[in-house]
Amino acid sequence: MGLSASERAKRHEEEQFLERGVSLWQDAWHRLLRNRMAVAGLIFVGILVFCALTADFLPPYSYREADYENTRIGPRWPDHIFGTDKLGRDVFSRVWWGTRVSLTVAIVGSLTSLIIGVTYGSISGYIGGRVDNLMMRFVDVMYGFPTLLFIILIMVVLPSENAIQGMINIFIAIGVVGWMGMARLIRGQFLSLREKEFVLAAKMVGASHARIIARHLLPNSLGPAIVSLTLGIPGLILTEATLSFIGLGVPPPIPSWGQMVSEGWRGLRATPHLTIFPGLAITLTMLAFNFLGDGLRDALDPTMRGTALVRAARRKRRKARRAAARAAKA
Amino acid sequence: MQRFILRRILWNIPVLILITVVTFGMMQIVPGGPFTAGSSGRPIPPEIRANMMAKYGLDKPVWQQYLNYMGRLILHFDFGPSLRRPGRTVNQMLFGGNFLVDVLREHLRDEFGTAASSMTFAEPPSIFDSKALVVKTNGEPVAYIYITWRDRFEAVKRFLTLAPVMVSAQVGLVSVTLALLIGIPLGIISALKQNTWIDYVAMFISMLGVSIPNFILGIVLILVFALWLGWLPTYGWGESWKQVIMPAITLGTGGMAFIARLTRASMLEVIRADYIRTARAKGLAERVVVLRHALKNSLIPVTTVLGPMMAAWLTGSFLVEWVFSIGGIGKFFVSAVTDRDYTLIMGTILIYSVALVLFNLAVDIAYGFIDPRIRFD
Repeated sequence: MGLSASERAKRHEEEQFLERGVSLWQDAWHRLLRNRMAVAGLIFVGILVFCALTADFLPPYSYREADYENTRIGPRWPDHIFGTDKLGRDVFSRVWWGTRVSLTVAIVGSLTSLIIGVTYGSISGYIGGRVDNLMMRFVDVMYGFPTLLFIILIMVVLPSENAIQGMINIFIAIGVVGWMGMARLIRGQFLSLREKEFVLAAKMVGASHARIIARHLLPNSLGPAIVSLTLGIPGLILTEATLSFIGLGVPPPIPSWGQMVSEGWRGLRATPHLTIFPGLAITLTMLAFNFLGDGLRDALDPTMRGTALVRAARRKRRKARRAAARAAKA
Repeated sequence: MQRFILRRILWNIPVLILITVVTFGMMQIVPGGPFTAGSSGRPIPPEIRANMMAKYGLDKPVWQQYLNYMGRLILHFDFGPSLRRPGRTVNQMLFGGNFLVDVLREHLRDEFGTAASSMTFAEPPSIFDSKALVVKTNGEPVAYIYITWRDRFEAVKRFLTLAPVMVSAQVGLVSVTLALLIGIPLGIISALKQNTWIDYVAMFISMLGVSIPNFILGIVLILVFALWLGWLPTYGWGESWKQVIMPAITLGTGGMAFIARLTRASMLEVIRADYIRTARAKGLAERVVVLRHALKNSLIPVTTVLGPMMAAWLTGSFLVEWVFSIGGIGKFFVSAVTDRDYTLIMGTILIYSVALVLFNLAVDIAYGFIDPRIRFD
């Protein structure tokens, strides 16, 4: 072959790398890192998480601290870089604090729709037949309601003792509307997976229904579920912003971006900064989650599985060959 | 095909009935009623509340209320009175009431002058009647007024342009058209130029379009084109073409971006299919390959999302209507629930679900035209 011993060793190492096999998650992670927009989205989400965690002590002002001397001033360096609102509250600090609301709705809403959707979809998909038909018809009916109207109805039904409880209720209501998509997805996965040989094998060795669902069907449905969950987050954040914008969301002293936009846009001509900064925050957050979700979908797509590392290894090999050729010429 | 359509229509009837039942049930669970607080926000004394409940039949058992409501709705297309706005019916709020009455009243004013204000009609005139009996307020008959074709035409025209439900439908229709006209070509182009800068720019724009909430887009448009540049009016609908632009862009952008992404994805899938290679191999022009062979098949996912999208948009986006002060029915989707205006809630939900059912049906039929392989069993 004309390869030196060290080259042969290298080739062997690569081959081993390819043969050892990587888990789906490892591979997906590598693929995700190769997608620049997804990485940008991931970094932005990381910043959001940081902001949410530090919202109590890091921003220059608290979200309710009013500076009556400086009301409705535009962006000003260095004390109010995003300006102040009609009470003189610092917009920058309030936008900072608003990450908490948006991320909480993302987490609580996702969890709610995940729990309901997975339970409902698993039952429907696993049992199948007439039960499945009936359960899916119910999902059809649920789709027949205008989303926002339904959220408002649920919000009114859930009891709330205080502002925080009310806020969580809103998030749950938002999640409750989103479960149908998840249920359909899980049900579809289950319908196709339960016919697979490994399920049959599990049944042969006497696995219980619960074990088949928990150990075999659910883990194999996890990829699409995560993608669907991530792609669903912008919708949750949007719904919260919309509700807050029309005055039905998070109650006032707590700053939510949607509510800040709604407070600001009546004075749009004189103080556009009150609208633009929170509006920008919502848009960028949605953009980040959309890019991340998109990247995750590409990364977790089973039909593309394994290709990233194989391609990386091939590229490395090609590069080495070219370097060798150059060396030979010289 | 006909059997399929018939079956779909029949299947939708129980779905709609179930939706009315669930809504009726939900309204019973929701704490507070339409008469717990007056328009000033002060609580209404229990005696008065009991009388008001009795007036609107809310003191009867739930099933009886439900049957009464459905009876009136099916037999007379009557959505009942609004519970929060005295003297207004839900039909007036959603459909703008009886436009023929307005047209005929104008004739009466021409004929009788100021005396016309004390006259009314024995029963509400309809465009299917040939004449209407005009009576004084004490019931004494005055004259018959004949309904001409011009009157009927005028009433229909006013309904189509002025009725709140139609205003919402107009906003939605313009936006859907915009979304399709820009979204599909954008998707095709970026699929054909995959992994070039054109593709990247188009996909970044559409990602932005998906991500920007429409109320924020609307506000930004107002800020730039109305307040800073002064080119377009900030509010209104139906008086000038300038009023159409910003609401249409605001509502249409999200859908446009979504459609572009969808078209691109399915186009990429289709363009690698064998029959496309065949079409190229037989030497067809690229334009024919793309437009006649590839596009038709890649439109199936777009058609699927079009059903719910059109239902949601044509029944009124309250955010766009709110931001641009357009008098459609979108606002009722929120105010009806916060006011506990039961009849209005039912009205808005029914309009939305009927629209959803109809558009989904239209989508199913459209499948058959786009792809004859999709069989209706």
